[in-house]
Amino acid sequence: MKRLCLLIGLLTMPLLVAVAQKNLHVNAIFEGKIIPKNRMVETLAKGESLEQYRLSYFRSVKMNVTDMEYTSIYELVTKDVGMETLAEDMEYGRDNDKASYFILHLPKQQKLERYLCYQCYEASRGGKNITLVYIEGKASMKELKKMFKKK
Amino acid sequence: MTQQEFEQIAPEMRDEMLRIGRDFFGNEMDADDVAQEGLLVLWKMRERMEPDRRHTGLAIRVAKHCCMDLVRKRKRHENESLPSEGDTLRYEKNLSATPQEELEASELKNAVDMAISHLNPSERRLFEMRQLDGLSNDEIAQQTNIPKPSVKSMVSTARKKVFEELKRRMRQ
Amino acid sequence: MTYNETEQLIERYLAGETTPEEERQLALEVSRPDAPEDWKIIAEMLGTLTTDEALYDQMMESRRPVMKAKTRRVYLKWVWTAAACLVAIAITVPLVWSRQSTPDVVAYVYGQKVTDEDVVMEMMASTMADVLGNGSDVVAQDLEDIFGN
Repeated sequence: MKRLCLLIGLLTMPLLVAVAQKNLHVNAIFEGKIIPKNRMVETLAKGESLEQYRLSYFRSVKMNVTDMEYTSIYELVTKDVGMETLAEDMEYGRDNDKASYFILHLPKQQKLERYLCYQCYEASRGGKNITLVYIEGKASMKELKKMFKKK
Repeated sequence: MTQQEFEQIAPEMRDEMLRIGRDFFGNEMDADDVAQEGLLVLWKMRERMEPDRRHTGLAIRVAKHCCMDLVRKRKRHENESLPSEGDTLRYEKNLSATPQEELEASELKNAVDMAISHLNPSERRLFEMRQLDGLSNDEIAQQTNIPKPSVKSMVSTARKKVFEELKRRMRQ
Repeated sequence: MTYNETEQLIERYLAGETTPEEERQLALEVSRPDAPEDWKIIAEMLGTLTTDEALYDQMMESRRPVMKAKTRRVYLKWVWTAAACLVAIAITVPLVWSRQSTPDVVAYVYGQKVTDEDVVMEMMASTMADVLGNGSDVVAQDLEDIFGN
């Protein structure tokens, strides 16, 4: 019975992964519909391995894009930010047109905090390097920044 | 080859170049650098890449060139000597050219490009299939349906024309 | 290769008789620092791709004897590691199988799957440090400045 549940769990895992950020426009980026997956570095983690961080779900993609591809990505990202986003729900910054970032606090789902993080900077070899991260869990952003402090 | 045609074959070429980079450097970051530089080089060459032919051979050659390029850049910037591998005299010269030497090489390259442009289209095509794609006469004969003796003769004519033109330029 | 042998190879190259392998060999010869002018022309005609391919192959070839001994040591190390793993699995599988939740930790690096949990978690931590550590590096701007029309 447990094996059956595990098998069912494993089989439904892709579905669960897809549902997590399904309602976001950037989901298309995570799913490899804008930039193909063989041009991305994708990281997925859920379950016990994230408990130490008080998180339940982590997904990130990193890619190098051309200026044209960046335009498509930028459009999707700005749709998720939206003009209804409250200032207190978002942290953002830019450095001389070479780098920009935001951390967006999304509405809670099932009592879990949700964040969308975005970073973009000019690549030395041309194009732009983009990182997109989606997180779910109980940790606050303050806690996460403390836990993942840059060394 | 159009941009769309290039984008279709780019992933396969990228995989080949990643493999070459990985074999040489043994790490993903450098392999990725090789693949990125390589795709850029191929992108610049796309107009001479025929759409109905496979170009993985060219991608592999470009990747090897990018590996050497990366070694040269590092040698220049970090000013460290390469470990002794093989004939050090032979390849250290290639990998540590001075700016003056590079300028002379660049002028010679321009002269070669000019001489190639003076060839007739068939001769130029075969010259480039040997020089850029690294194909043998047999492979060229197969791909172009030109008889092998004709391939050899045309390649020879093209090479001699380019060589003679360059010798004339250098005497001036 | 002697001077005469190189000259003969150049003649064959100009006659269209050389193989790609011979041309790579020729590329190395005519790229020598003491090469005469004619050889430099041939070097340029052969092209950077041929020369660099020859250099690449030469460097890879020179690594091979070292790699063989190293590969053998690595192989033996993996044989023992595999044996140890089998014993560990025989003991732990019944325990692991009874657990209710299985963590899903995986990465895809340009399509290549990585399942080593330590590696994936390190990638995750590094990504988080990068995106969350921007505050000190980047000056805060107005929302309109970045996303406004």
